[in-house]
Formats: sequence, C-alpha cells, structure tokens
Amino acid sequence: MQPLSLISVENLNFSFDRKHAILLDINLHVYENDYLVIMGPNGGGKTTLLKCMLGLLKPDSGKVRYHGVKTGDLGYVPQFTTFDRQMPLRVYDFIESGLIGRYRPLMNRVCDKEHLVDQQIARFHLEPIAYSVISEISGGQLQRALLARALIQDPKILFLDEPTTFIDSESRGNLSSILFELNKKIAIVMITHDTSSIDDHVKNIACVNRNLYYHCRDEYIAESLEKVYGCPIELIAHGLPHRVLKEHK
Amino acid sequence: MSLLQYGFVQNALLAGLLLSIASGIIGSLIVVKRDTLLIGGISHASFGGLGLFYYLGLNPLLGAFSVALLSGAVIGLSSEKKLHAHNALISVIWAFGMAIGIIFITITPGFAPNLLTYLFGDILTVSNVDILYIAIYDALLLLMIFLFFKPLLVYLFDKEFAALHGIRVGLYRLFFYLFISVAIVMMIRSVGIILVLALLTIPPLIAMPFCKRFPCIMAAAVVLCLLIFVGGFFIAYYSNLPTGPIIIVLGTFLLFLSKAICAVRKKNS
Repeated sequence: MQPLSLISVENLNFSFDRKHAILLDINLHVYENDYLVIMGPNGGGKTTLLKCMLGLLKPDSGKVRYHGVKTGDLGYVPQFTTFDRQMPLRVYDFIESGLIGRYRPLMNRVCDKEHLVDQQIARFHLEPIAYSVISEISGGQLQRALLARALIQDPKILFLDEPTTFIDSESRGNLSSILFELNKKIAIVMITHDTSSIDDHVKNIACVNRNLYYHCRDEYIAESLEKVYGCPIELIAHGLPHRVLKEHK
Repeated sequence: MSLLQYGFVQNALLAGLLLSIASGIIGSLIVVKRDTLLIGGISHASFGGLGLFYYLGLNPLLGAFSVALLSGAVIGLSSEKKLHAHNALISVIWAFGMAIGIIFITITPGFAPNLLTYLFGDILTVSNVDILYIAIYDALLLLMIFLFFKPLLVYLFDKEFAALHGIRVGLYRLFFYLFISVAIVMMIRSVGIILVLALLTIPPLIAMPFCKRFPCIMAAAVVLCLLIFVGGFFIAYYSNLPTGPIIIVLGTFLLFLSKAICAVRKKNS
C-alpha cells in the first residue's frame, strides 16, 4: 500500500538570481510518519529546499502541495544562526512564543497556555533553567528549548535544520531518542551534512546537491554518496550499524 | 519651588514625561534589534526636509517630519536580508539628508537663527501643541504595544519563525520603522538632531543588564529617561547651560555609573 503523502514537492526549481540554479527539478514526498533525512554538502541547497517546503521561500517554478496539513501543522527547529540569541527572552517566554500562530489581539488568552508551556518544560527537563535568559543556557539546552517551541502547537510534521551542529555528543544521543519517540506520532524531516547523525530510525534519505537523489528504506545496500559529494566518501564507524546507499543515476 | 509656577517649565517637564514614554519604548526596541545606526540616519536625514521647508518659508519641523517619515518608509520597505546593505542604505540617507539641508540653508537669504535649536534642541521652547502631538503619539504607541507586543517580539527575535506562523513580517517592519521615524522627529524639538541618538539608546543600555524580560527593559528605560530629562533640566537651569547637551551628559554619566556597578557585581559574584 502506498503510504499517505503529507507534502509533495513537484518539479521545483529555485534560484536566488534566476541565473544560477540552487535547486533543479526537485520531486519529493514527505509521507505520514516519515523520518526523512535531507543530506548533502554545504551550499547544496538543503536549507533552501526546506524553506521552500515550509513556504518561507517561493520557488521559481514547480509546486509544494500540502495534503491535509496547514502551515500551523508544520513545526520548525531552525539553525542557531537564524535568530538573535542575545534577545532578552527567558526560556519560558521563548517556548510560549511557539503559540504565536494562535495569538489574536484582545483575545490573547490562549486556553491553557501555562499548562501547555509547563508540559513542554517537563517533557524536555528544562525546569532548572525555565526562568533563565536564553543567552545564558548551553547549546544542548537551547536545542531542547527550540524543540519545545516547535512542538508546543502539536505539529504534524517536524522540520529540523542541522540540529546537531552546536551540541555535544551526549545531547546528540538525547536528541536521537527524542526524535525516535516523536516519530511514532508525527513525521520528521531533518537536514544534516553530518552522516553520523543518521541513525537506525531514519526511514528515507534524500541527497541534495542541486539535484535530488532519493533513497527509500527498502533500498538494497549499494554504492556510495560519491556523486553528490563529488569525491569518494569513506565510512568510518565504531561497530555501529550503518548503511550504504546505492549510486545516484 | 517657584520655578514650577512658570508655564514654560511646566510644559518642559510635561513634555519630558511624555517623551520619556515614547523614548523608553522605542529606544528599547531599537537597541534590542541592534539598529542604533538607524536613529542617527533618520534624524540627520530629516535635516534635509528642515532645510527645504526653511528655504520655502514653511514650518521647518514639518519638513523634518515629512523627510523622516519618507526615510522610515524607504528603509522599512527595503530588504532586510543583508545587514550590510541595510546599514549602507542608512548611511547614504544620513549623509544625503544633511547635504540637502546644508545646501538649502546656504541658499536661503539671511542668517538662520533657529538652526542651533534644531541641531541641539531646546525643551524650553516646547509648546502646548507640541505636547498634544506627543500625547497622541504616546497613546497610539501604547495601544499598538498592548495589541501587538507578542507578535512584535517574535518578529524582532526570529523573522522566519514569525513568517511561518502567519505574522506579516513586511507589515511589521514598515510600521516599526514609521513609528521610530515619528518618535525621532518629536525628540528633535527637545534634544536636537545630533543628540537624539543618545537619548534613545542610553536608557535601554543602562536597563538591559538588570532585566531578564523585555517589558522590564521598556519600563525601566521609560523611568530612566524621565530621570535623565528632569535631572538634566534642573542642572541646566541652575547652571545656566543648554538643556539638550546637559541631558545627554547626565545620561552618559549614568551609563558609565551603571557599567561600573555591573563590573563590581560581576567581580563579587
């Protein structure tokens, strides 16, 4: 049975100046309960593709279609560099800002707002730093706060952009198990250029370097990421299970 | 105190109070957005309108107001993506406005007696009508903050996240810069084109290290601004020195004092 597609990207082309293509004829589906990793080299267009999928960037041509999801159903964990970490904002207020889509002037009492925030704080063990300013917390804590902000509005799909860049290996392990738990209920789309963050729970992989090469879960073990990286990639693994994807054709 | 019986003193203090509300709130927003260059840009650009209206024989402040709004709209409608382009645009508007202003004042026959008032301000010349305008602005600003504070905060903090959640980022940006522009022109009357930058930035800079939350910074900045205004006013009056510069010197002194307190607190903790 064909799984239900939540987002479909159809013949998408994108360039910042209409001359140099960043993304070329991209076709991609995000399925229900998908765990899709978008990988590829820096500058390959991963973040651009993600922003097109979120509706933050408008493609030159092609379509991004939502099936049964609204923009409010999209949770987004951006890179640390996209926002101002020096803002005078407490972790509590930061998480609460995830509800901004429901804010209406004069009716700013979102039902159970405190309860929703407290729930997220407990879920990510942020109690000790709930009233600290975000500039004073660690990378791992900020990552959890970002997750809490994205999840407070109960998204159906969670997008993460390079979530492992600024956090230590212990936090990476935590993140991996959090995502595994989440994936039982919602779809996950994660960008990374770091192959070590692709664990056993990942279902599908899309390699992006201007073009897109899709590898679904059932794919038999084959060649390497050579084409997309433009050079042979050596795999180094400490006895962890790993997979080798088939050659891009 | 017999000084308070004078109408112009009452006006000056009332204007100080009302301006502090605008200055504390707008200043905090600008400092947190790290866009302080903007204040200098818009205030100096408004000098162009001032010169033009002066040449035409119209009210110079109205000229300053028009050009400030125009500059605010141009900056607000330009792309925010690249910071260096944003700062370059502000610098150009800054210099162009000044140049135009100087040219028009030069070709106007006779001596320009009020010029120093606009460059350095004089809170003693504030009229009842000025106060009414400032009061209307304050009311409008407080209403907007009351209604849109939360989305505004998300806009300032994380534009992409704001856009994803349906906040109309472009609209917020335009209104943000228009409100700033009007505030700057109102300050020109009291502290002048050259000093307005300091009046808007010093109070929030003092407040920031002591506050964890944004509303706290704004409230503290309003109180500090009022303190600087009133203190500066009385010092200037009794020492027979111009109010604008004294207000700024007092503010700068308090800023250094607060930094010293921060340093001592850090050392002890």
